[in-house]
Amino acid sequence: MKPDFTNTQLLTQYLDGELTPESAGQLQQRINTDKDLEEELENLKISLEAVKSFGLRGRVSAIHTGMMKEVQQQTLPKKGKIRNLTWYSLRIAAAVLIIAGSAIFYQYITLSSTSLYEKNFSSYTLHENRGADNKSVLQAAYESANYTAAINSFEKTPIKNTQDYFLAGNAYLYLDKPSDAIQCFLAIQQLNNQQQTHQYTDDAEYYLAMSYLKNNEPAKALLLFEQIHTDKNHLYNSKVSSWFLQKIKWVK
Amino acid sequence: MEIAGNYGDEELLRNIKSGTNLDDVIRQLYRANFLKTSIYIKQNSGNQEDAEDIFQEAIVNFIQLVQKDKFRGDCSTGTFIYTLVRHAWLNELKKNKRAKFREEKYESGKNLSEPDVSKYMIDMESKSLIAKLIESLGETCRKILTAFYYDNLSMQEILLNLDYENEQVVRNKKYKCLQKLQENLASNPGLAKTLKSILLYET
Repeated sequence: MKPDFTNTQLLTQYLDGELTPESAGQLQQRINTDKDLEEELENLKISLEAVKSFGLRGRVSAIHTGMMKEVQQQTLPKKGKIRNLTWYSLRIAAAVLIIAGSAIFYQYITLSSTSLYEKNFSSYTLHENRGADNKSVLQAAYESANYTAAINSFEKTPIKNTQDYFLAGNAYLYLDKPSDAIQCFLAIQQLNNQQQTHQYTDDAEYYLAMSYLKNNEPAKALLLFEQIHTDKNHLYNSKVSSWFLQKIKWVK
Repeated sequence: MEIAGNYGDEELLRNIKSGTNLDDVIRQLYRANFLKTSIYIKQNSGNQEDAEDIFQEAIVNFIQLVQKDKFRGDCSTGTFIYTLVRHAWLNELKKNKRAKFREEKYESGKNLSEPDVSKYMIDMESKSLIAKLIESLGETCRKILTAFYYDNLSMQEILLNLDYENEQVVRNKKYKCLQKLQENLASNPGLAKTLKSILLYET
């Protein structure tokens, strides 16, 4: 038997709770005895549940799209970490480069021929085997760091040997007279050339170069230092690094 | 109780029953459970689309079960949803004949403490059955019925969104829409029986 669709309104009101308790009771009695009405009510209940379910699906579906984007971002932590790590490493590298660059730039702008001399000069110390028994006044004055006395003695010495020139050259450097020091070290080279000797050759060459630096003649100093740097057997080879040469080039 | 996201399980279930902050609850269920269930589906012949479809249905099913007092927190929501998804996916595999031995594999890999959700089996076809049924009514009916029965809007509120003369006209339209739904079900007892099982969890 076909359900009576005219009852739809009444049954709907019943399910929606819009009937008075009295009307609801009367309808319930009818439902209990009328199978068609009971079936109609059952289908109506299913219909309302279908509507609710349809609404809930729509709601979940609306949220679903947004959540998939969020979840996809969650599933990319490794990629993110790699990028972050790379970015972090790049930042560290950049920082190191900036610091290193800044240090180099600072050195560059504060660098001068004289400052290079000051930072790299080390005093010459006489060895005991060099005239220990017949120590000259010049030598004694030099050893006692009395450089003025050493120069006085040097100037009064009528016949000067390579050692005299060498000690005097160093004494002049201490007394901030690099041009006089230069003359002394050049004199050693002349003497050695004339006498075909090799006394204080490496020492004189190194301290002559240092004297040029102090005298603000870096180009002349660079020529000598490059020779020393190239000559692995030179006594002062280890004192002349590539970096030191680079710095001289900057101030040249 | 397992705590998933911002709400503890008890609060989450209370919110579902009362419909409070339901959007937040749904988002929390996604955050806490989607990845785990999608891994399971992808490891068992499924793809991303399968994982999303099954999970959506599981969430709908879970909310309906809570609202009908069929789930009262006997196990954690996470465990329950995961089990719903596993059952649903197994069901899909069976139907699609994609895995002859999936059931055996499933049984061997199943956690003994899993709840029995077989009576709440999600059938992916139910989604399309319900959608077809409601959409066959037309846009106006769909809007009126979902606004009244799902969004719980009053007739006055519904009237504001629809081009009708007064509330009574909307009310009459609602009755007509429901009558049409009844006609469809009355003329198709098989569909009515299936939907009763799916929606009221009664066989």
